[in-house]
Amino acid sequence: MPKGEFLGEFEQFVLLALMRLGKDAYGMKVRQEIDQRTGRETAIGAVYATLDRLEQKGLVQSVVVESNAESGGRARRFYEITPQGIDSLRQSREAIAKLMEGLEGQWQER
Amino acid sequence: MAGALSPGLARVLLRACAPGHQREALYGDIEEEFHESVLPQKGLAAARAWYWRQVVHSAPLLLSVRWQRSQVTRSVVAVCGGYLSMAAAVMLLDIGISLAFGNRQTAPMEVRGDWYPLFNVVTAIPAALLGGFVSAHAGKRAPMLHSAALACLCLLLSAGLFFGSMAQSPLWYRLSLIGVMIPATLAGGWLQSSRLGIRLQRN
Repeated sequence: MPKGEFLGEFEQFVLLALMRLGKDAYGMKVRQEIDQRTGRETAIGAVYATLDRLEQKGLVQSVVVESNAESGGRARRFYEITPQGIDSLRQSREAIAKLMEGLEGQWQER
Repeated sequence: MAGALSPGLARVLLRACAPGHQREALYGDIEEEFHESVLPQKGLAAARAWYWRQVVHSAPLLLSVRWQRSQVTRSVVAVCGGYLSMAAAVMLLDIGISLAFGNRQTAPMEVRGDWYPLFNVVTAIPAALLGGFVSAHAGKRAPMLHSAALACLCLLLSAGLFFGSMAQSPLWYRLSLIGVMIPATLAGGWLQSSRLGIRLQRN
């Protein structure tokens, strides 16, 4: 399979965060989810740049919800992973799993 | 509330860097997090430092999104980049041959010898190939279109030189330069859009 079809590490983070958040996935929530789960501070711009790239690849889709009371009077752009995005994520995870096969002993902490 | 306490310059910078289709959502997100989470937890100074960190780390990424989305800018840069790489290749080859033959002076070509016009025509071929390749690579959504645009630019500049600063040069030389540069530029674009370009993108 050509290299270009696999997802980068941060793309996988973003897609997994979208899956975890479900219908409540917008930029800030995605950023916070990645921060909390991975323990590294992520820039909001990195999240938006990645979401834009994934959307162009057809792996996520977005919808703008106009201002309402819950959003504090501002528009929010909500994102959702597409079936193609789930497939792509599965392929990338499977590739990692295959590469890790037989290396379990080397992951144990010394 | 939004924007009341967050650093003003950082806000301006963020809005300036963000691509239009994401600007309002992104700005709203960072303001919301600043006011609802970061400020109550960390205090004003630390929250402002957090805001600045976010903007500084986000700016280059957002600019790259804008760059990728702006096809006009990308096309102009692709053609200019192709032209610059072509000019740099001609210059390097010229310097190389001057050093090799111990002929470093910047005298007119007539003084350099009879071989010089022929050398110029021959070196124009790889330079034009490179220029066409670079243009097509930078404008990879329409590679041949970008190398053709560079070929048109070369044609225009050659026409200017034909009647301008090179008017005293032999006619065969002027015609040969145009004759090799245009097809070589297009060939560079073709090389990029064919197998070689695909291989480069994968690597």
